[in-house]
Amino acid sequence: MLSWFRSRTIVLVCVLILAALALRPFPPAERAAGILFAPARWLAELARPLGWMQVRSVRAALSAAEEALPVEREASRALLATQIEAALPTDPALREGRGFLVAEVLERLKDKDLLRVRFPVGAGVTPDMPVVCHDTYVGRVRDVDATRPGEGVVQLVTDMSLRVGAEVLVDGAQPVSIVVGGIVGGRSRTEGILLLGAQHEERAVLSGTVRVRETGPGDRATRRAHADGFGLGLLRELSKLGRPMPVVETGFDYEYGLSHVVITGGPELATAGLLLADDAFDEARWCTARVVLAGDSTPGRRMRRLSLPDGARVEPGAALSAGARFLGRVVRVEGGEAIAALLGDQALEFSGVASIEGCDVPLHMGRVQSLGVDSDGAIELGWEARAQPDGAPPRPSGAARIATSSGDRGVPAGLWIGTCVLPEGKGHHVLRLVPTQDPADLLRVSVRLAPTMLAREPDEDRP
Amino acid sequence: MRPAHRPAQRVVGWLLFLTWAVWLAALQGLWSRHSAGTWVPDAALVLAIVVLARCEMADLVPLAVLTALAHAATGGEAPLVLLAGAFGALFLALSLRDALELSGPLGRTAAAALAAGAFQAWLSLAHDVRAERGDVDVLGAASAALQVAIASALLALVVGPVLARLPGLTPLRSRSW
Repeated sequence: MLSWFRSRTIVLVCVLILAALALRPFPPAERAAGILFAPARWLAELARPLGWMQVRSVRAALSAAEEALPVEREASRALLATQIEAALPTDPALREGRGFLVAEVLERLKDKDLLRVRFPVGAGVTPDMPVVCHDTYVGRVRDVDATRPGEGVVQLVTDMSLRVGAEVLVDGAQPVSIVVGGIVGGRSRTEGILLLGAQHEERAVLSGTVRVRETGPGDRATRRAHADGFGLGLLRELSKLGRPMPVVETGFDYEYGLSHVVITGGPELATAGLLLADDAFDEARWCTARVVLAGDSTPGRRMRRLSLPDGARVEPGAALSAGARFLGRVVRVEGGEAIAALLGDQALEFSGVASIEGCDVPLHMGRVQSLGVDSDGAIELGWEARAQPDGAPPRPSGAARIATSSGDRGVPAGLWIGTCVLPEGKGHHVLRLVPTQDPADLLRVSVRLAPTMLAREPDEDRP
Repeated sequence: MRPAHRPAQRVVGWLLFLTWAVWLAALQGLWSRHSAGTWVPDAALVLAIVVLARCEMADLVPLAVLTALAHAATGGEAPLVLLAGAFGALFLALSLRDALELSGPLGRTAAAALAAGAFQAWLSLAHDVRAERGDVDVLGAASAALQVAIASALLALVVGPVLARLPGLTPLRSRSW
């Protein structure tokens, strides 16, 4: 059969087919290549003796992480407590006669404006309860997961099927009713300012502050009305296809700006227990994996092949850590092995939170992307700083300590990543991070285990 | 014309090529683990080019598969990406063999630069496309490819003759030159 490959044309055709299959992943072809490359797992062991040359530096790195664990764990818990506090409404008028329940965002469901959240078990959360963050309306509870107590799905106001009653506050005039929901224009999602769709119910107004107003008869409306007064944004007019169209402009980052949300209800909600974050330091949720080779043969990449212990249930996206320090995430799982992207590899993305010097409230950074390693060992991170809405105070900047935030499946909140300086202004920034732990040397890491019971997609819960 | 080697000898030759390629790839990974990975030669690919200089056209298949396998054992790229990249890079080097003798210093250096640069550019491109980020960093890929190409060319020029004489690779020499 190899004699066919004496023809250059046949070889060229094969190369082109392989290239096409590699660029547009086709599951059967990926599986076949995985089978063909299965011996790579054992071949990697050939290089194991090379790791013996670095035993001393590995031991030093691990003992430093273990020694710092008690202090870093406490700092991490303090940061989480501040984040939870920052999610609660501050306006006294919004707090009056209402109860609030903080929920942790576990993950964002794919291609949908839905969040999977975790709240205290038995808190009395039901569908249709409004969800807010600080003084801003976020959406409402869509489902409560019957199979996983204390978990549910929140539908964001950016979802095209969600409609929320609101009113436009105009100076010196009666508020005007309006209906808001969904995103206007696909590009709006990737820009700093989101445009929410709006429709006038009575007379048309051109501008004003938009707040939720869902008061009406019936139990459902009563539940929804607990969000009355929470902000949605500013009304303005957009010209679409030559016709004026009302939209609500909001600087709130619904895409990546949510790590904790607050479910609102009657005063009875306040009696529910305090939310404990999915504990990053619960030893039962971690397994120890061996790094087969502390290096990557592809220039510019920082990936590692991990040998997992027998029976360990690890999913793509799972965090890697040493003590309370974040090292990277699993990219693929192949039988008893996993491929992980470390800090500095271009395949690594995570949600971050910054504890900024001189600032009491931590800054939820949203999506942070690892871009590479600088010549001096600093990690380059890509960060999109969202635009602040009109009238909002400027975003804090300066020296900051970065940690992982809630909202990424497999990554617990509160693992320390490193220190950097956050620049002022909106737009794309490249941050130079000094990592708390350089993962390059390690031959042993902790890998986050998947929950024992899988979360179901919300559509599966519905008849 | 060299005497033909028996199939069993060639199988042993291929296995030893794989072993050397894995070791070279692992050493290269360990050497560059703290750096940004720039100016790092693709040692396993340089070894493949040195072997390719004295192989037949049909040997391209095992050579590409084993080179990709060595990279897969010591890195995290997807197998299909590595396979397509190794095939393409070695095919380019093979095409150069019509004009230049790859066992000579000039041909070896040029082929290493071409193949390693193309392989690195392909890996960067494939990563961006598969990650569905929307934008493909062509300039970044070209810059990284150039650095790897120069480093690999230097390695091929200086160490190429040593790599060609690594123990166990003699049975793979099937082509007259």
